[in-house]
Amino acid sequence: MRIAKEVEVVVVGAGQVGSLMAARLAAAGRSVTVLEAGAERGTQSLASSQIWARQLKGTPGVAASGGADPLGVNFNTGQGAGGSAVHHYACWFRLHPEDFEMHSRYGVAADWPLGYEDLRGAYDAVQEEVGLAGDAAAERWRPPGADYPLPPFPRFRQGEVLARGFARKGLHVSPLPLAIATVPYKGRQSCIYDGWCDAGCPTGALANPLVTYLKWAKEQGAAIEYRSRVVRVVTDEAGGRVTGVIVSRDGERYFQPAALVIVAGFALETPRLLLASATGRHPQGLANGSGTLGRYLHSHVAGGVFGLFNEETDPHLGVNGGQLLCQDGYAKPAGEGKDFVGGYQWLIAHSAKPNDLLGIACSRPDLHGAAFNAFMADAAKHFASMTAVGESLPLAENRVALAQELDEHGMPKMQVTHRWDDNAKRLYAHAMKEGVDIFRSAGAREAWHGPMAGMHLLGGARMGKDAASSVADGYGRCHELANLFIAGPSLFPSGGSVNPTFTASALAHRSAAHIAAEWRRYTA
Amino acid sequence: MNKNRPGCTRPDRRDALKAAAGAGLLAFAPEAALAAGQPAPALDTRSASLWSLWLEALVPGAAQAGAADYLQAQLALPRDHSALFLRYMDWPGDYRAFYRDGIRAVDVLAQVRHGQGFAELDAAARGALVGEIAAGAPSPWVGPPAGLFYFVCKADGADLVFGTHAGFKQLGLDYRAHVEPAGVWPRRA
Repeated sequence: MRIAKEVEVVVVGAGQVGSLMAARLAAAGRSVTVLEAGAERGTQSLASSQIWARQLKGTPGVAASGGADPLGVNFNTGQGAGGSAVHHYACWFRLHPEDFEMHSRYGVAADWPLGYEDLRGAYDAVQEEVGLAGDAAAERWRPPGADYPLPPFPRFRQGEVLARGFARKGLHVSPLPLAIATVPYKGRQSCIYDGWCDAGCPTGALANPLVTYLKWAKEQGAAIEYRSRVVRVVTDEAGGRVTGVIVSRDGERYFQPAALVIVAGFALETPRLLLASATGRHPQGLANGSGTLGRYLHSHVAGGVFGLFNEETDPHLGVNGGQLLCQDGYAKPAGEGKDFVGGYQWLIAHSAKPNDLLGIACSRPDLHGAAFNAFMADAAKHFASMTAVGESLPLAENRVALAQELDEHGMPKMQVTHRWDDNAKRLYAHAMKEGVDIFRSAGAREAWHGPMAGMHLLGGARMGKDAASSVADGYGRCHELANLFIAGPSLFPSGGSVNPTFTASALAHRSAAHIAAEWRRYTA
Repeated sequence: MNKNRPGCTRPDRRDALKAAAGAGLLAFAPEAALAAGQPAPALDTRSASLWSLWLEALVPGAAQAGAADYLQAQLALPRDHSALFLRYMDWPGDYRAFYRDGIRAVDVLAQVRHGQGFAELDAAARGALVGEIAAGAPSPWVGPPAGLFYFVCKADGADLVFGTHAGFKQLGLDYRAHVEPAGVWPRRA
């Protein structure tokens, strides 16, 4: 097998956190190579079409997604330069302090090995770097932190209409915090509110990795190798250190030596790679002495609420993530009128295209024929929508496991198994009832809600203080291997009720700074 | 449309992006694929025609919008280049078989219910059959899950009728492209 020239750092995956780690460590003077299984792409390949945007999504290594409530894998994942963050909605929130202590405070899920204050500075640094737009004062639920560097998004008609419903129910809304430039920022142009965010924003306004961390990683000298599938992480004979990775590219396998390896393959590919790297010293997979690798995979429970109004709502304008936020339902404890533990938030007034899974058409799966076309003609100007994002409890049985089937690189594919816990089902039912009530209060002539769905993929390689029940520590370093790190949402012991990209980025920022400062400790 | 609304600002930016995308789109042009020779159609003519009728029953206008050509073009692409809605459904099997078997199941159901194929049914009978399939438990049904087949095909129809420039225009919406999508369905990756 050919042996490539040794580098100091190998990063597996050119998505949001892999790019961030690469940029940071390259800036710190380390030689960095990023190995990305998918293809290179630039912003000009991001066609404004909900049809063609599907080419950005998917994880080919999944043999099957099953269980009682299968997770939507392809919609939630991505491949190629920038990973799933290329088509993400840029809704960037901080976890709340209580999210880090779900077990000790409420007896569910697991505690994080760090608290909000440990991450606060990283949140502040990342938001300044990528440019977050919002109104910190209006977010009365927001944990302490620096004000947003960019002014909030404007309200369009849909936002005005739905804000009326929240006000009449005594609920508070704020501008949605978004990683989208509302004014020119650090060489990036500002948003023009055309609602093509999840088709991949080619304007540079949305802070996807193509215009932020991946770009900066290259500028700092990191090498990005595309169509390079890492099929195995290699350890030394004693099994205490990694020595590099085996890469499959263009029909060839080669060994890429490295002083330190960071696996940033998202919630499915990260455990897959470590499970597929089993050795005699690590028979259950690398970093799996606890037996938790691949387990505690979870998702946010989500439900859409939809309505038609007599007034025009301009539903195609704005950004896909929404215009407004309400976290009045974020409090964790169960109580009177709340038969579940954990919270939820509302993302309000999405820019919706006519077609696609989150478009207007799929909100009424029951309609067909002339009735469906009549609905579309009406809804194009009078539709409104919002989404509840709620907490689900990580279950050990929800997992990524290796399948018998091999992919084109000879690597075992994945079998993904998932079911919702009963708590999440109760949360969903509660939120949907509230959402429909809000729409009616806003004056909707029709209001309905969508099915229970998974949103975001979290866990699978969770971090914790105890090596007996977790895969990695608070910096993402695997308990059993001195120089193997994990980055990304696969580390999350629990997911709170907010979209994960900001927290995953803040964690990676913190870890990269730690690795840079403690380089000798991990690589000596 | 209110030109003072924020979404209507700086059309010059949008135009500039589209112009810059021109070179990239050339690589996407269907003519290049056509010149290189088309692969054999994924579905036989009868199946493609039947699918077009089925889609027309789900979303009127789909046949005229090119349903048969769209599906043939998409099924000719490698799986990781497919833009079919089915991609979202994590369907583990072959995409061609999904459509081929689903269309056949629709036709068989029509034969059992009405003694004639789906193509021979009048609009009312087609609509009733669609309703039975949409409910998810038609019998007999040998193919992909009936409810899934209905949901996916209806989303395909919505793509064709409402998800293109022509579809937006029909709904009275401005498409507002940043990077223009391909106007014809390419059959090569």
